[in-house]
Amino acid sequence: MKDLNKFIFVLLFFVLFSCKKDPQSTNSDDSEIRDRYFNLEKTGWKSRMYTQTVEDIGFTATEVPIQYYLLKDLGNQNLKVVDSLYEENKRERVIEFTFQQDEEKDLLSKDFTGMEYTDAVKYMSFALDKDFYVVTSKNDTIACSGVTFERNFKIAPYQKVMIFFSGIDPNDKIQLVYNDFLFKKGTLKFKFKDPFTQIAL
Amino acid sequence: MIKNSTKALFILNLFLICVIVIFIFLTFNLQPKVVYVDNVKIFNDFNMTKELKSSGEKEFNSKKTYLDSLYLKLQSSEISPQGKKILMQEFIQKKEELEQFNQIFASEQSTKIWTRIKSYTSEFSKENKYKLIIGSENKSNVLFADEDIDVTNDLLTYINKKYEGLK
Repeated sequence: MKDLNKFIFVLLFFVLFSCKKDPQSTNSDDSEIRDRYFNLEKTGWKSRMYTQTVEDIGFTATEVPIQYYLLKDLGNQNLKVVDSLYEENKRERVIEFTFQQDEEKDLLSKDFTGMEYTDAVKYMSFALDKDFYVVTSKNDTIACSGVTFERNFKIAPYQKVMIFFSGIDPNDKIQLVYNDFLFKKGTLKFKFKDPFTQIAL
Repeated sequence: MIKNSTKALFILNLFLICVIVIFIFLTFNLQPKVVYVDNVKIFNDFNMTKELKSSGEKEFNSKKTYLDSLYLKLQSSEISPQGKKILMQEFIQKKEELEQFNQIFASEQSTKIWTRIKSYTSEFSKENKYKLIIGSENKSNVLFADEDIDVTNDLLTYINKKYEGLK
């Protein structure tokens, strides 16, 4: 009987002290973040889109929330980490910009740009950032901080670049201005509207 | 009695259906298919024209100021004949450049602006279901047109909104 009591005591001791407290699980209520991200997803990550068509070339700018890229990279398992990264980078803006010809011809060919194919690729990769800027609602102009050209080696019928801007209020409505020196179509402006109408309650 | 009232109702319904069909037909056909616009007003009041005009004027003025300064230097008596010769060459070159800029800028930008106006007008006509939009310069090509089919202001508002990325 005494041995049994000892055994139960040891067992209880292990049961009580073997479970380590997980610091992450103590504060795991991420419902507010989950709700916010769910609403963003429901609205459509790439729904803030505007297209300007000049002759046979379509220029489409899509303002993508940076949470989209964070979730794509980190997954949705730990939303607190994703959200803290968002808070750190919320003054950044990412815009996807695509160029597409009506008949799906390669826009980097000499017929459209007036330069050699390799020069056009170089221009897209290294010099396109000078052609973009953003105008905020306070009429401040913000220069483009970088461009990434997604080469598709003629597989996709469009050319896509990602353009980055820094130091913009996350709630500010912006207008993207593109001075087209590549296809020589002049200035193109893009204003991003919310895809839904807000109801004043 | 019941038979007669059914017959009367049937005739009344038939009449009402006819009225609705005629109304729909007239509503869709009353919208003009051919409209006209004043090209000069469209071109001059288009925001793109205004922006390009002001940027062109700035560039022209800076080139002209430089040319004027060269001219003033040429007029001064402090320069040696050798220096005057070099300055004169530069002056002639800059003057030619200015003249060339004046001609090329106007024609190049006009082409760009008209290309843009045509693109936006095509979308405008699709939205309003117009079959033809006649662009006349100070009504010289149009002998007579009713003011009801003058859509200059509508088109101007549309293209300006479209240019600013608001539409």
